[in-house]
Amino acid sequence: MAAEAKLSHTAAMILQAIGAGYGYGFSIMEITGLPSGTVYPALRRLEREALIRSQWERQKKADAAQRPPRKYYKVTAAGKATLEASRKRYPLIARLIPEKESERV
Amino acid sequence: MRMQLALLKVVSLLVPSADRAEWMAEWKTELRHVRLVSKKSWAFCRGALADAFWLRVWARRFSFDLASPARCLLWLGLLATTAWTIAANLPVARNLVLPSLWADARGLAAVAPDMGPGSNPLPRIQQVTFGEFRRWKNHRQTPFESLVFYQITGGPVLRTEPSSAQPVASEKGRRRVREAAGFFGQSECVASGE
Repeated sequence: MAAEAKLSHTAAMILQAIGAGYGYGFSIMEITGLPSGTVYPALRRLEREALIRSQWERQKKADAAQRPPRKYYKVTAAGKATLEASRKRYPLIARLIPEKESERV
Repeated sequence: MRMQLALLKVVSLLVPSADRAEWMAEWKTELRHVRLVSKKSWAFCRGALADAFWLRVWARRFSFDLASPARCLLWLGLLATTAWTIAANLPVARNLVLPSLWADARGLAAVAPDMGPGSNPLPRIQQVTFGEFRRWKNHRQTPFESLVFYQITGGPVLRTEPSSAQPVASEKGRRRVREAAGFFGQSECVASGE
């Protein structure tokens, strides 16, 4: 089993936010309180490390909401393992960023 | 919004061309959303610079493949040239790295007026002030077994021996050698070319 990447607290918060259902840049900024200059580069890094993946929203859906399509991020399988390890390392992040209501089953 | 889009357009030039269109599309759509819900759109746009810069650095970091021996050597050569250029421009490093113009430079000291720190006319040779030199000269216990004096002159390299003084090239050169010998209180003075 591959060892999980060790994340900084900030990166772990961002990964936790994505895992909790905050799927695009500005929503991550809002929930974490981090500035755009931190969030977006961290998203690039997490994506390059294959902990998250991005996908553009379908044009139809965006048109229905009368806005341009958004780029959404999702946690990958490797990202989930890393997130679990990060939660153990930073136990407060799960309490700081709870799951979105719509994400709860 | 136009100004912010213009800013994003300028900043996007930092982003590697392969990622630029997608980067711009993401920031445009995010900016639109930010403008709807917040008044901090300028602060938001400032983050674009950090993002673009990060992408630029990251792309460079991984586009340089060190696996090739030729590239590896080129990279090492570049590093060595940069380090050498920096060392040659820093006085202390230059003294350590470059070979001295003077034979046995570690055993040499320039006697010169004390004009404060950084005024040493021969920065690669230790400086002794006139005052220090006079103290040494008048001291009963000589701290050195022997002292040899050199003087920088404007003329060609000439040497005067105590027994058979050789002619010097010019009156100016002769005067300089005499002055040096007089100052140091020696009958012998070796003059080197400037």
